[in-house]
Amino acid sequence: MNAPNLNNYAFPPNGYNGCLIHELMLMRAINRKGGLYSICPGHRWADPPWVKMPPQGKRYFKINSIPLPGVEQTDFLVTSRQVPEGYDSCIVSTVNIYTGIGFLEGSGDIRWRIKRNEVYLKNMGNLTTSIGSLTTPYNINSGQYIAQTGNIVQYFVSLGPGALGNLNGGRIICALFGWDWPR
Amino acid sequence: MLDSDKPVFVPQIVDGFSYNASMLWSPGRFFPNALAQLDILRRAANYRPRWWTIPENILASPIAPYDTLYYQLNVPDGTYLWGYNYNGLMSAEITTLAQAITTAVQTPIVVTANLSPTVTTPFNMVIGTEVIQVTSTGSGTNWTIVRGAGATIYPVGTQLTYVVQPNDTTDACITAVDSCSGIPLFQDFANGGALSVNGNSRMSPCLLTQARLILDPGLVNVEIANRTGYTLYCQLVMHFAEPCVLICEEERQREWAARVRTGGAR
Repeated sequence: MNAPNLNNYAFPPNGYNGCLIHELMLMRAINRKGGLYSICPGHRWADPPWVKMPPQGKRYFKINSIPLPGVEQTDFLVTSRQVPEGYDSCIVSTVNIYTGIGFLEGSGDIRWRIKRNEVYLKNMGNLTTSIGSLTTPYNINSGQYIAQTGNIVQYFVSLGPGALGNLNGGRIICALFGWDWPR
Repeated sequence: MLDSDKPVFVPQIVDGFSYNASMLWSPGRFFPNALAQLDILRRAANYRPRWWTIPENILASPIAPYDTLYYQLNVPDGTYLWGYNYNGLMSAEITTLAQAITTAVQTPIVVTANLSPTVTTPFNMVIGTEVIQVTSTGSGTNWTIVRGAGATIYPVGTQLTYVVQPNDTTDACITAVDSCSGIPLFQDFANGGALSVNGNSRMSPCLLTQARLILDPGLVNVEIANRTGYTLYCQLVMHFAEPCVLICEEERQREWAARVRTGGAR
């Protein structure tokens, strides 16, 4: 037997060590033989379904518009969708535009936000510029946002302080494009 | 009677996690259940606590409005994640309070209208290792803080690395996933605002349903999503237990590994 080190004097090994080591060795053995993938293989795709729509994929367009809100600094829901149960989903393109006059891009008068699963998408939580159009939507090239089954995706708009003095009429349009595929 | 049928009595361990003189022990409460769940991990001699704060420096990595902080931890192979905690502060508050506790014993502070706390009675806060008592002195926006006044709840010097502010706008969601598989380690976004620790918290830290073993390469991806319109200074504490393997056990592990490689063991 090896000579004990300093730790052995302070904390001699006990039966509980064995419990933890046993679990560790067991999980390492599972990992060495393929890990969770060997137990629950799932899918392996030549083209991941969030990059190229698979044959069973279902395309969706979710477009809606609301009149210019009359209240500032409050989030208004423009459009939303829930990923169908049993399907996963990706957002390939987004559109957010304002059809009225008086809006200077980036001024902060209009802010759009995309929320998925109750959390704002990275970098999409405070958009101050229009994105895309309904004829040429902005394409999130090969880096789509993925939403899992049951997730709710919401597109909000909010007017910045003083915006109602600058904006005149028009509507706020938001759209989501993408596809769902069975898990 | 078989050995396995005999009741097992093990000595109680008194440590920072279990010792609370003001706690009435009841089997339905958090602490007895937490102790039971973590018993093996606490009693084993080959694991030691390791706390990670995310971000490492609360002042260095504020989260912009509606933004998400990405952070990756690299923990040793065989580490257990057993709990987490979270707290956050507004920018103005943290600057004022940080100055106050370093410059004076009693310092009046003014909280701006946006940040006005809703509490009207004195409350305790912990910043770093300091315990301070905050008392309203007037109209609701003037507060006095007293250093060390909360010592009856937390002894001064208590090692708490997160910042505490009750009734603050800490609307943030947190999650941690395994880097290789993307599988959440505890929940797909937990509400961090519900985890505020104010000295009266009875379920802190938040435990996982069971301790999660993290294997090689030991990468954990953490996300903290700010859902407020304000810049958020916050910190997530993740409680790990990392292995400190004894020499004699190392030899046993090598034997087991050899048996696994040759197919001699399950």
